[in-house]
Amino acid sequence: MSEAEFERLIGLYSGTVYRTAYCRTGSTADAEDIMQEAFLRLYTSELAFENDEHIKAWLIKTAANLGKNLIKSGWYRLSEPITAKTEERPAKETKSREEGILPLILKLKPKNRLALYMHYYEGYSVREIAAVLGEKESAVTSRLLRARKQLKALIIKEGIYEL
Amino acid sequence: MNYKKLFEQSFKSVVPSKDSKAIMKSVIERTERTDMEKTKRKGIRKPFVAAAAAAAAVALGVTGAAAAGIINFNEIFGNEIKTEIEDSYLLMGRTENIEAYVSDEDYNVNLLGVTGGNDVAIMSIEISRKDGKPVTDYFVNKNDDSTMTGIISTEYKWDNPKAEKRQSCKVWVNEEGNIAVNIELAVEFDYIEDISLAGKNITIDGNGFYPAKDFYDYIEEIGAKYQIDGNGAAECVQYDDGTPADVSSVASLPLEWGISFDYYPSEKSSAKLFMREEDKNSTVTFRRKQMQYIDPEYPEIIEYGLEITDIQVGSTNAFIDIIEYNDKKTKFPAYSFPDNEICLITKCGEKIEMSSNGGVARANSEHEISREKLVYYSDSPELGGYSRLAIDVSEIAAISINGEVFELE
Repeated sequence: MSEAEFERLIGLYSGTVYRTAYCRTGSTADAEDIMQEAFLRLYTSELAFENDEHIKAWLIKTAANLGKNLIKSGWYRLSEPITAKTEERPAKETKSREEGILPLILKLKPKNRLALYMHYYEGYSVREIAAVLGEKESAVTSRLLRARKQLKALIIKEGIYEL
Repeated sequence: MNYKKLFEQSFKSVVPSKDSKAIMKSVIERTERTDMEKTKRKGIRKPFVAAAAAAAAVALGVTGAAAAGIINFNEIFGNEIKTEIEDSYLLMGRTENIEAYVSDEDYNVNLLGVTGGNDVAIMSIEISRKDGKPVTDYFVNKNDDSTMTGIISTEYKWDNPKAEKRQSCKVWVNEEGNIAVNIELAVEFDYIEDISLAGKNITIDGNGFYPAKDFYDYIEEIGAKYQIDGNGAAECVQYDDGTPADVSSVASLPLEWGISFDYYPSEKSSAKLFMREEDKNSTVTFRRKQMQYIDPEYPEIIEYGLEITDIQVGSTNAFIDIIEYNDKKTKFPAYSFPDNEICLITKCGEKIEMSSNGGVARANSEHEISREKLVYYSDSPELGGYSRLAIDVSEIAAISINGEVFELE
């Protein structure tokens, strides 16, 4: 792969890979490392990809797996991830819609928040998510259902805005 | 709640700290550092598996039957015809060139039967599993989720681009625990002369089945809207700005399925169903008098009549009351008979129970008030509550309203 092509792909997908890793680990530092590792593997891989979408799917899967391995590793369990900090607000103050729900998303289980991210941010269908992550469609559907319910409950509990 | 917008907003600040060039530089430097120790991987050319797998088109036709050639369902099913379908003469149509596809190889889609006339085709479809197990074992609770919905569309190849079609559909879980679908496809005759469906190809595509309550709750949650007919089929799910809404995350049987065939109305289809007269505007005039006071300020009604216009195949008949009275006031009287005691009586004595609701009243400059009340027919629950009726106007002998029989002229 030429450097020009590699740079092009990084430009296209670094954000996606980073966010995937972030969903998986909840840590910006880990997300940076995983992103770099994923692109390293892409650069050194001799796999033949058919198109950019194939590459994107491969990168997401790689980042997700790297994140999973990191979570399972002893190193991860011992360290404390640096998560996005949210300001303490008085309980009665309604949180701004513009602030987003990222802190609440991070409270979900890694697999669930990754599925939600892929579906609602990257626009992947259930079938596509299942194919990329190597899971059954029914598992993805269930995960999205549960995750959405959990997220909604969190949003209501935190009083972010009326639903 | 628009999850898509929420996530876009939440993740817009989640970006790498380095730009593309810096990332590339870091990766290449790492590569060069470990070049001596790197083990060369053998490239394996893997065929790309499409993330959005296309449905495999398989000529399935009817289970156990040849897909090609002319298939007469009565001949194929014989004693296997389900009793209620046989009684309703649903298996009357004729089809050719049946093709079916379903995205999951564990499932079958079967066209159980088709019937109708030249401008309407009524189809009965079943989604089942190849291993014979109930579909409900895999995603819905048959007791709680008997009402289903799905995103279903019908298309037909038509020469006249102005032809308008009308579709209604009912989806439910049948006794076998499989998904049953009844679809009626009709062609509006207002705009074109040639309205015959005979020999035309009809294609039905579906995209998933959902427990109805879950589906409606989700649509409401994400603030999307949908078109749906009275019998449960959803289509055109989208947000207010027209953006299609993805409902794939709702618990569902996420099949992509379809069936197509060339349709021919069978001669036998008229044996039970009365077909429409060729004169589409034929009416049966029915007049009766009834006096009614609604308000001391208004005069009593002198006369009003009842017209039955253009009884249609499908779901609705229109009853119009024409009311005349000798005052210039235009206030209209209350509807004189309640909703659910209307019955058509045919010349052979058959009673066809109708239901009605809604209604619009209009007054013209000549103080005539017309009221149109929708009256419709529904099949019995055993037939799935499907709404379709084809009846010849000339076969109607009388109308019973609230038990009172009015013979037609």
